This record gives sequence, C-alpha cells and structure tokens, in this order.
Amino acid sequence: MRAFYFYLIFVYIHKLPQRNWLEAYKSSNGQYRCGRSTFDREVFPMASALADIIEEIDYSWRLDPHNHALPPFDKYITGIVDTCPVPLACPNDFHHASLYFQVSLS
Amino acid sequence: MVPRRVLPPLTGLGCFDSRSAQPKYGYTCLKWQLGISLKGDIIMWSGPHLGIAADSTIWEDTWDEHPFYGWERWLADLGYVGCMGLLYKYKRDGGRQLNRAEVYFNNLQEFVRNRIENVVSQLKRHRLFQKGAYSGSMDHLIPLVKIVGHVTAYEVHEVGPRFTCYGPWTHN
Repeated sequence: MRAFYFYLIFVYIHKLPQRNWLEAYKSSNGQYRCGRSTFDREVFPMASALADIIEEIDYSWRLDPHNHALPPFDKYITGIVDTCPVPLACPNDFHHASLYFQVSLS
Repeated sequence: MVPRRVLPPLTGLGCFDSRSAQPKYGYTCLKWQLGISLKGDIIMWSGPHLGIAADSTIWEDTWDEHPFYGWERWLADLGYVGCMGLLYKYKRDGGRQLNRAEVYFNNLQEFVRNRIENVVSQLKRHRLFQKGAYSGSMDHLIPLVKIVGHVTAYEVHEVGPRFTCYGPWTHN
C-alpha cells in the first residue's frame, strides 16, 4: 500500500492540475485505490517526507575535469545560473499578492 | 551572512483563489534558482523566492548555498549585472554602441549560457510550471517543486552529458 502511495506522488505531479482522476485510479493489479481524503492524509505527508530527504543534486559536479566549454570559457567557468518561475494563482490577500507579482516574465 | 531580504513564512497560507489572478499585467509566481554545470547537470537548487525578488538579490541572499573558490566564475544573464562571481554580457549603457570585440564576446557568452535555458525547458515540461496550473496550498507546492527539481537533476545526470563538453584538465 505504501508503494502505491509513493507512486501516486509522481502520478499526481504528472497530472497536475487535474485531480478528478484520483477516485478512479487503481494500482496495476486493481487491488489498491486512494480517495481524496486518503490522498491528503497519507500521500501528501509522504511527499513532504520525500522532499525532506531527496538529494540528487551534487554541488561538487561543477569541479568535474570534463566540465569545460570551448575558449574563452575553457577555464575558470564552472557553472551557469538562472531562475525558474512557478506561476501561482493570485492570493486573495493583497499583501501576499504584491509579493508574488512578477511583471517581466515574457 | 544575513540575507538582506528575509522571506515571510510561506507555509500555512491556505488555498489561493484563482478568480483573483491578474493575467492582464503578468502573473504571480514564486521563483526557484537553479545552477547547472557546463555539462548540463543541475548542481544548485534553491527556493522558493518571492516573485518580485530580482535575480541578483536572490543570488546574493543565497550566497551561503553556493560557496565559490576565489578563481571560480559562473555565467549569467543581464539580470545579474554587478553580482560577485558571475560573468555576464557587455551592456549598452546610455545608448553606447558595443564595439566588435564586445559583440563577439556577447555572442560567445550567450551561446554557452543558453544551456541553462535548455535545462529550464526540461523542467518546464511538467505542468506544475505552466501558467494557471497550480492553485492549491503552498504547503503542497514547495515539496512538489523540490521533488520535480531533484528528479530532473537525477534524470539529466543519468542520461549523460547534455551538452558537448571538453577535458580532462583542471579549472584553474
């Protein structure tokens, strides 16, 4: 059952924002199902626990001796940085809405 | 180092109301900062940051999360002008025309820097990053984005170098 809940985390991420599939979704052997309340009670805490321990990013990869581009970036350059926005619905609260509003994303 | 902009507590905000979104002016968002190696591996992931925070502000506030050697430099876009440890393009200040050498450097820098846009597009395959996709609780969003980021990092690293890279030799 826990393995099915674990798998559901990734199905949920894949199918966002739709949630109406949840009640009809079964495990491959048809044995397990998960309602919406069970999902909130069991699966989301598991997702939070997974997020706490997941560690697939290694900062030392930047020092890999093969991590080079052609000149003039063949030495000293180890990485590239940028930001990635996650759009949200606007919060009802004006104060929070003003903190998340981004005007130059195009 | 004390961050200049302290994030308000983001958890426990409850649900967002999609009816009050402002599509006319842009959109509300949270930002995640990511860094990649020249091979395309995701090597840094920090967030969430406020949607109104400038990229340069985020870089400086998260300085503790990406310690550098003294000789080390990263590539960045013009949103990071003036930030320590970053190499960005020449800018046309006050309408000044760039000379040929500066234009040539800008083209080279953009050619390499574009690798991160490719990795970001890999991340954005997930519907979570599409406009209007998410209107649930912040408590749920933050772990989900972290899972997406780390799983994408694993995927990119396991498949192998995403871009042409050279070596082996030392960085300094």
